[in-house]
Amino acid sequence: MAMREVLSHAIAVFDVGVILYFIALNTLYLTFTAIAFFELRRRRKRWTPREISGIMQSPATPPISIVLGAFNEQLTVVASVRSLLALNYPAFEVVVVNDGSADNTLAALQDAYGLVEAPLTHAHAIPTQRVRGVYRSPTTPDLVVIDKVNGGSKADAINAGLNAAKHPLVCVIDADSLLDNDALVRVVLPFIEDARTVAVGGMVRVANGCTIEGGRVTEVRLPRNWLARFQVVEYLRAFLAGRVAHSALNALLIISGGFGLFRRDVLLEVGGFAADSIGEDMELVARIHRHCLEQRRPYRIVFLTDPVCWTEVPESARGLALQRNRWHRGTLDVLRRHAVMIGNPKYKRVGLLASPYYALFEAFGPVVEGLGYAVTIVGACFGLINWPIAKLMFLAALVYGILISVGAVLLEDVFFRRYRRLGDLLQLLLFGVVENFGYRQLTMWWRIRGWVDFLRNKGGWTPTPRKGFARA
Amino acid sequence: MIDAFVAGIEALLVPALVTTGVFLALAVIAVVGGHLVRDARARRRRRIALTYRPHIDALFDREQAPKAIKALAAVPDEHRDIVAGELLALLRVTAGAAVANVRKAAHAMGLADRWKRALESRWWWRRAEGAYALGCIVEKSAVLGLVGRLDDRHEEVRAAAVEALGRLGDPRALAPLVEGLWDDSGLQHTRVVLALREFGATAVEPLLSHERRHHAATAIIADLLGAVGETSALDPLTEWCSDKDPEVRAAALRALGTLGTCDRTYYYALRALGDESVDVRAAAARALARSRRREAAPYLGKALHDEWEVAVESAHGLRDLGEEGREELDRARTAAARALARQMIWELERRPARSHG
Repeated sequence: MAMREVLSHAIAVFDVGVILYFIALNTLYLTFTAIAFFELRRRRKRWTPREISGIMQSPATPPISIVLGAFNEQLTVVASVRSLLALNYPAFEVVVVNDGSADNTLAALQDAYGLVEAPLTHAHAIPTQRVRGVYRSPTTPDLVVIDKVNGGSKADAINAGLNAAKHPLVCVIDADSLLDNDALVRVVLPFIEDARTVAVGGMVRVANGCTIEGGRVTEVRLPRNWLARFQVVEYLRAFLAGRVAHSALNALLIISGGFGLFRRDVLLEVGGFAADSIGEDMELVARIHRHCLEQRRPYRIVFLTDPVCWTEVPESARGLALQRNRWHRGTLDVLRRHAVMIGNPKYKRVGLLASPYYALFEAFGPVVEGLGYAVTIVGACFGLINWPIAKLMFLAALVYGILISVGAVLLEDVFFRRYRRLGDLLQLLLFGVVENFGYRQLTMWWRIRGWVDFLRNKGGWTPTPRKGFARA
Repeated sequence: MIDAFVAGIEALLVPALVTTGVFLALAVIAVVGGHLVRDARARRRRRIALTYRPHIDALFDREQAPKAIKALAAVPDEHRDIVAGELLALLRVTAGAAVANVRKAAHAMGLADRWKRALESRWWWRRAEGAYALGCIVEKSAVLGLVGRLDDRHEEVRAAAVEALGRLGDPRALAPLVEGLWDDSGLQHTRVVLALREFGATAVEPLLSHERRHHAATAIIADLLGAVGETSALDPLTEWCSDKDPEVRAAALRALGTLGTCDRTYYYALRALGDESVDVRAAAARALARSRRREAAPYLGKALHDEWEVAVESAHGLRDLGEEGREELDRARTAAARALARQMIWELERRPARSHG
């Protein structure tokens, strides 16, 4: 009897700890949502269409090199390049890096653009796998294709593109990303506004379910697939609440690999993307922060919601599991590499706010949450649980989580209204509620698996299976 | 003790969640209501626009236009904003006779007067909208009102006024527009340049007169004269090629490069290849390259060994100078400028020579 009481007491103490953890996490997210609301309201009035058109006409607008790595993309690479070349921006080049594809990626580009071999005239500032050749198009002077030996990572391919890029700003995107027509004009604004800006991240939205014509999203709709719908809510919460708030505090620790604009000189200074990192996008941003703070250089890393990149999210549980596993291993890898910053006042807000947040809530979140659920369920089965505690756990974890998701959906509708149909909005709200019962626990499980794989040093980079865009 | 602690947390958490929940529920109701109202308004707008669409389309037809203007004049007050929006949307993609018809329709509906009054509105967006609309219908009687908006405290209004004055092309606006070059906003500078371009040769004299009063502006004016693209500016530009300020010399040579060089300016550009300033030498190399004169090839060949900025301009120029240019590039192949020369030779072999701006 005494043993049972001790166990029951221990479970109660543990559960209270988990409840406090949930309250802290959700309160933090609620604070992010509030910060994001005021920040988005401030930004909404900042740039008008007339000013955007001024950027297009100004000779002072900085030119951009768009770099994308292509590995076995023979079916989509030509359409991707075509849509990039048609972007609305006064001066840019597209640098495609064929990362030793085993299929006909290079041949597809050669056929489409009449590529011919050009002399290799750029410096090899960042070491990469050997470049086999540089190709240019007589008909499309703004296209450069680099053919290199496969480096086993996206980072190596992008680094080869960085070496060849000739413009002062470099936009890094995924081969399967679709940019909005004005995405470059909008993403360049912080560089024009403030010379301290070294990197800008754009908003990543879910393309599944949308109508795509000529490489552009022309009608925004919700995906038909349930898993993809949950991810829409998830992306809104992560980008609109989380990243906007982190950016407002100049403590943004991640710019999505799908769409980011960087100062080329800064990328070369820090040595480009880390080819041996799983989360190369987050790792790069952490390294830029560290580099600038150690050098006491004034700098700014910004996240913007207006420049939009559309991406296809996995629709199968297997694909999503692989992705989340990889993302979590990436986060852990970055935190390990830059552990010195965590809680270190020398690294200012990144050291005192962003990195502890990532360590405490992003890295350990699934473990604490998982243990909390497990202990509560086991305790309930054996009659060891105190029901008021179970009720409080439900309120702190799930009800509070629902409010955060609904808040993110409201931010989307108040400031962007990309989902114009009332039916889509109501569905998003519904999915914001339902995701807390099942979907959230699934992703938590995949992230715990990511922890296990990370500790076992297992995994590497596994591509996420995708269906591909139906392009018109 | 645990129970008391849990009760304490619950006492704090539950009211907080209820308050947040109620707030969000109200926000959801407001957002959903907003959707419904917006949808209803959009439907009404579409319906009204469809009603007047035949009259608006008829403005393109010379014979039917007078009848359409008469019909539009009878549009009830509550529909006028929607019809005005449709007319302006039409003008975004239209030029020529239809503009005059839209202007007549705007007068008949009282819109032109409303837009002129809007220039004095206390709301900046109304002032900007008024300036934009008056520019779209090329309302010459609004020139002075628009000039007054060039000093507006809101950039959006100043921008709309500059664009409108550019469209109007009225000489009375030239001098105030030139003053707009000193606006604090860098984007406004670009807009003024674009507006001045619309004036063509008539902008040259006010620009020169401005330069005579403000010598500090010479470099900017030189760049502008190149942008305005009028050969009547060649004399002052060649004179500025000898200015003591390297920024002015570079700007003058850049402008000459854009306008194209005559005999006299060709020799000025040749001489500038020996200038002490890299910017001036680069601008001179560009001007020579654009002259397409084959005798410039040896000079550009030598400039291939200059600083990178000069070498790039020279290399591009040699690519476009035919056999003589090719000979110089071949010669440089073995020298320090090898990479650049190889690139140009490669381009020559792979594609037809093209002008390089």
